[in-house]
Amino acid sequence: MTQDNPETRRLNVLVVEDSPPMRKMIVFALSRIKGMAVTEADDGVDALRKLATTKYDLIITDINMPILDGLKLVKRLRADGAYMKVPIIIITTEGAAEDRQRALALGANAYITKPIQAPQVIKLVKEILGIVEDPR
Amino acid sequence: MRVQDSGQGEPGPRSDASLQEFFGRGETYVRQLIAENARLRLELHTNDRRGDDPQEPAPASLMESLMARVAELEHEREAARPEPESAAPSATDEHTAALIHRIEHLELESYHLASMYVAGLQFHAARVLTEVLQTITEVLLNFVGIGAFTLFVVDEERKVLFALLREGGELEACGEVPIQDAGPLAAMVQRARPWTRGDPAYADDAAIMYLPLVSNRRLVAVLRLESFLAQKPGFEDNDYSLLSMISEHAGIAIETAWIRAHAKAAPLQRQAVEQLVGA
Repeated sequence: MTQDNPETRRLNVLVVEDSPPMRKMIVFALSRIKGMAVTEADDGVDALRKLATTKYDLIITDINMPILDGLKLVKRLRADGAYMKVPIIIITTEGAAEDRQRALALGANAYITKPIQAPQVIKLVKEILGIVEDPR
Repeated sequence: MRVQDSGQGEPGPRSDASLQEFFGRGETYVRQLIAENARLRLELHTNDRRGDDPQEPAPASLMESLMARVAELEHEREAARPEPESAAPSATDEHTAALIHRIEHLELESYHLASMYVAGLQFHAARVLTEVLQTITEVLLNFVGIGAFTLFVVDEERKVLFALLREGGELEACGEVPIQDAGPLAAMVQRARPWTRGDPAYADDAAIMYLPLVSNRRLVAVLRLESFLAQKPGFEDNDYSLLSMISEHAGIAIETAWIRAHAKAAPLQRQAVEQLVGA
């Protein structure tokens, strides 16, 4: 984490999702929060490439993805010193309770279920990042 | 209490006689005080007896008058309270709550419009059939919350509808449906119009609904929506406009992908023929 002034610095968020519509909708939801710099990744491998060059404050990842899925990504990040404590939100379906439990056991912080709703995403991200916006 | 002087006028050693005189006068004063006290007590008692006069207010009427006075004072207090200042916080709170509610509504509306835009964009950006099918699946699963569905495509040459995509079940279990059939799928071909909310022609008990996918006025495919995701209790208002958009755009996307596939094949075939004939 950077030590910049939280009032002015932007928070880097990485969205890892192989479905373009879903990815776009998550990015749209995050755009409703002030001070977010959102990066998109198509799958786990693409995410690892981006994580190697940029420091992120939050990672939102789908579980079912080709090449490197969300569970493997969470496992690798939690074994990485740089991302050991960075918050991770996983995206699951309501029926995938087993995957959800595995992801949480591996170190994910929270989950959102599909179909996602913008208010649900915004509320969770604000909670995790401790963002308090002026209601005015 | 001040002790009065003996009256001798000059200080000096006091004799027993002067002390007796001093205490004697003190006793006299005390007696006078006791008498005055008795007189005052008597006077007070007399006044108390006058209090029993019937002309004075009785306890009940006194209570009533006091209550009336209290009510009068309360009324004066209410009248004296500055009305606009006291009403202002309440009005502000209501206004703030209404604004917050409005913002939440606008946020949801904004998200809905974004989902419509993204879905439409994906349909028109799809270049091959697999991309179209993926978009249909993702939009139905992630935006609408449909857990199981089947896509039937119209084969105009063979006059049948055949299953091309299925979510939540086996594709092979779905047989072909002749267009001349009397069932709901075949009926779609005759109607050949995009779905709109409340259209009774598309109601069916065996599925949530049948959604026609059209290209202009020609039916290209039919989506049979079979069940919702577990966490989705039913359609919401925003879902209907999304379904209507799918009905109008997914068919165009399927047809465009088909045209692209065949347009690409034609030059290759011509090239092969030209090579064969040595042109």
